[in-house]
Amino acid sequence: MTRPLLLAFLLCVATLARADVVAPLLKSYEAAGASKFSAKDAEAAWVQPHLDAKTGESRKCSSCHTEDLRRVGKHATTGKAIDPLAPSANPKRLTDAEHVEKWFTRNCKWTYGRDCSAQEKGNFLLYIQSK
Amino acid sequence: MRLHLRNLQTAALAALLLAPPAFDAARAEPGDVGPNTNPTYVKECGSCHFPYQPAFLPARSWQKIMGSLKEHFGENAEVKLADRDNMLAYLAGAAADSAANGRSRTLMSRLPTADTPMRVTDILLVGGIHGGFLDPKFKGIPALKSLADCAACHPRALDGRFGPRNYTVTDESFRVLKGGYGLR
Repeated sequence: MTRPLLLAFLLCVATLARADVVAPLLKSYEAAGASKFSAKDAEAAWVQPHLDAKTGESRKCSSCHTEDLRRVGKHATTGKAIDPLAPSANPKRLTDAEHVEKWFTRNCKWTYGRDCSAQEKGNFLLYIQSK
Repeated sequence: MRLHLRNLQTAALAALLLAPPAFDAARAEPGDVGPNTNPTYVKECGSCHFPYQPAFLPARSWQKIMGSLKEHFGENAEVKLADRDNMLAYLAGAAADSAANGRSRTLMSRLPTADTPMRVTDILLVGGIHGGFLDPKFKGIPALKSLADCAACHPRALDGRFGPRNYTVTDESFRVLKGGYGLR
């Protein structure tokens, strides 16, 4: 009797634990002045091409992650497979805040040539979380 | 003492039985670079490209690469300082110039001391063996546009086994030419 109850409890905690990574991140973005995060804006930004100043090549998020977040992506330079971003296809996504911030830094710099704003990051988080 | 065949046979049998297992899949060939042993390196660096084993490059190359992560082949590959130090110690410590395996020794023997290759594929020996494979003048253009992803053709690359029986290629032209090139 207690075993299924315990299991149910642990499952609840596990789901909450994942949400807890996104929630404090969004809070920190709000503290930086962002508000009303929009997954829709992120969806549009995902496929927006940006010209890299140094190489002249066109870059966008979908260059590596594809337009379907549930698909396996491919590194634009090395060809290495990138696990899906969608939590529905890859439950490890959005469970490590440090990992999220590290890749925001690297990938925004690669795509935009600058850090993403708190607003942009919040939008992207909502977008990824919804997939 | 006269050498009897039976003594030799017994000795050979004893050697076989007492010797360590020769076909442990995870263990490196005595002559090859072997698997990575630092999980931080595999996780951080292997997230974008094949995690090239330290025994492929001399320590001076690893120093240069880890000292320029901000500009890593056109990308920012910076990591936490503690991780960087940890990984550099691993890479430099197991680098080609101090490695005992045959592959590293061969690579180092053909590497001019003035050279500090930034890529495994910049090493003359490596590029040379594979060079024709990427030559568009070959009959049939290979599907790969670079040699960077070792695991694409070397199924045991992560084990550190790149020997003649440990590669496979799907490019028809290479299969046809393989015999003519004398590549075993």
